[in-house]
Amino acid sequence: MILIKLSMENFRQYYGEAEIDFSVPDDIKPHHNITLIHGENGVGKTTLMNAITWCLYERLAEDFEGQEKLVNEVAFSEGTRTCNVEVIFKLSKSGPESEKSYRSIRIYDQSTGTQKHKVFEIDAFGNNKEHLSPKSFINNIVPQEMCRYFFFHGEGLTNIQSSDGGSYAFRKAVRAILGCTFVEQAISDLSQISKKLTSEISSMTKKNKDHDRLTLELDSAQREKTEQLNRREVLRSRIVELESEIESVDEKIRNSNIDLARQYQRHLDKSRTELRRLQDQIVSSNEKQVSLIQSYGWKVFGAQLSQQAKAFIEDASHKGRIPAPFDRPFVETILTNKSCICGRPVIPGTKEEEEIRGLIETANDELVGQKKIRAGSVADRMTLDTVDFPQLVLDCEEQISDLELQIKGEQESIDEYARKLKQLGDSNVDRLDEQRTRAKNLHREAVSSEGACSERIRRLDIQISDTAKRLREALPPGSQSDNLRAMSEFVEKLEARCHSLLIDMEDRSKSVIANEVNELLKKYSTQDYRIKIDHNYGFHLVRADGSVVSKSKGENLLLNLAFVSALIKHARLRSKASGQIFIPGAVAPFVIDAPFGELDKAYRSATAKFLPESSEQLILLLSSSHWTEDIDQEIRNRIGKEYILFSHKDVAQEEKPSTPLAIQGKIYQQAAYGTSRRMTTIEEIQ
Amino acid sequence: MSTEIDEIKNMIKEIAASQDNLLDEDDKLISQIIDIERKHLHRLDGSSEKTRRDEIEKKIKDHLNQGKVIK
Repeated sequence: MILIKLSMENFRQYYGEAEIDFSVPDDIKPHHNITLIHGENGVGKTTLMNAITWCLYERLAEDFEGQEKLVNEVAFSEGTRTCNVEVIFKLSKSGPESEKSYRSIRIYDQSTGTQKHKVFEIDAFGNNKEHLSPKSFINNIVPQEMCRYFFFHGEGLTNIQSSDGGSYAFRKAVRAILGCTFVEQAISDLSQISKKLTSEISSMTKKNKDHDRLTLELDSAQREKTEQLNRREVLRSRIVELESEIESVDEKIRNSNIDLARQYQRHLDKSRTELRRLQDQIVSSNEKQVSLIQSYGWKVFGAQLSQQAKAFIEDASHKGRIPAPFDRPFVETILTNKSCICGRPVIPGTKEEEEIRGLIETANDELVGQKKIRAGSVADRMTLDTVDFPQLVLDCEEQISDLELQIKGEQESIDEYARKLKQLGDSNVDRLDEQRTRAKNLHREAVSSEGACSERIRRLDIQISDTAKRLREALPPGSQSDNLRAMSEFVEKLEARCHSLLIDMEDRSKSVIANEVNELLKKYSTQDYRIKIDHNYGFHLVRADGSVVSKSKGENLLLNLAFVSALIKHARLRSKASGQIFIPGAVAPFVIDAPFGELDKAYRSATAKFLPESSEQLILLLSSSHWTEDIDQEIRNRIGKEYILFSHKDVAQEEKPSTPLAIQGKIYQQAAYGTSRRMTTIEEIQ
Repeated sequence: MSTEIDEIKNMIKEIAASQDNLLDEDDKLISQIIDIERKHLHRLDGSSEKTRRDEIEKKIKDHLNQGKVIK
């Protein structure tokens, strides 16, 4: 998605009409991907971001106050009861999709609390065609779950994932950004096609008891699978809601005005993050142990038998039995020369000559010698292979024991700080803590149910596939049956291939994104940190020794920005490749409110360097306290459009401070006092 | 005898090579199915699931009829 224009009418601080044209890189200015908007606190920066998300998704930030009062107060006092926001966007800035643009318009009636949303497609000739399903259309371009990552509230919410494992929503958003959505949809469609083909097969198969039983089994399994899939979606939505609630509560406690509460919450955050990391490590150690046993376990048993066999060979060898004490050539020479080594003649046809000839059967030759050496060598190798194995397994066990102890320690720490929070006796903190406990219990139940659901779906898939196979086998001979059978088998194969591609893609992407973030951290972090991503896309900042870092707010913000930037960059780079299956379904502009808020000077410069590289379109909203010369220097040659949100104040200035803004040596005022109306206007800096 | 063995070896090589191609052909077909998903996503009339699935099914049938799958 590329934003072209935002227009508002009587929306919050903006009286009348206000609009912004966003910078879109083109052939003439290919690097100008930044739209920079300056504005003091309370003037309307956050409102701009909320205007976009409200227009597209009917979504406002949790901390956006007075959500039912969207109409500008002055306009309302003059009798206006409606406001609207319009966003014009394209799907892409180049290629065939860039020829069309889209207009999303949302109108709110404050007197009734109702709203209307419409989306129009605007063709190359300016003709408007209304889309019949505006909500699903927008959601399919950039799913709503991704809002908080592309529309990044730098100051208010510095955590894009909660510290104790609530990454389900994040994982879902990441999969959407990486383009999994289309493959998941394809899997669903292939599954339905498979179901339809199986039904056709069933109708062609001879009707008998077996057929009836198989058909009933199949219908029942497919029905149950549909129910379980629906149930799982409901559970997943519930999990996302609960994770959001838990994170919201954690954030309120982090920002509590009670110092001890903040302190305890920090400890809780750190312990939970460490707990997740330890749990992941236990999973890895268990897998390693299983792999060792699979690879070497059989050799432990084989080694003993091999050594017994080797001992037998050596014993028999010692006794002159294996190999035989006489060579084949030796016996053949005696027979050829007709003379024994003692000098006695060996006369053909005699009993002695026959006995000597009989020795050839058991005589030693080169082959027997080689076999003896090889047998010994196999026995030795098998024994050698098992020498290290028991110790490796014991090492794994020791590691797991150690991890379990550490987990116990972290859990005790979590319980201790949770108790301390309760004991603070502050009613607000108590209430929040109770809310969190309730939400976490519900979350635990929902996750467990979701897991059971997924397992049931997996088993049903096996059952359905097996039953479908048996029905296919019962098809009568003929070309129609052959075609149907081939089609059914092939669709199943495609479905399995899509699943396998999804897993491969996720593993690769995680690795690429982690590397990208680690490169950024290596380049810009003042500490020796790196990122670790777990199977649920939970990411942690760790030191070189693997221990989790208890991050400052600034480090948290840097990490979140680095992660989202790496994710967006990865998606964007993949979108340029042709012929790929995972073309991203969602590349949206990166809109960041106060990206430099919590960062110190070193991190500010670093962030100003890597942010513009990550996204095709970057929209930055900054207050003057975050605007510095070093940031200007880093991003000036990327700025395509720049605006000031000018505040009109209908009061006298008196003692109130002026807030001039210096940009490229020029001073710009950001406010005027004693105006006829209180409002904000958008002024472009040329 | 050696001629027959050589013939068998060549057949095995051909099958292996065509299996490799088969994987590529499958992935190409999946890529075309994804294109259908994307195309239907952006349709103004909010195209129905049935239309989309019918199109996918037809694409698969055409692919099979072109003999790209070893039966």
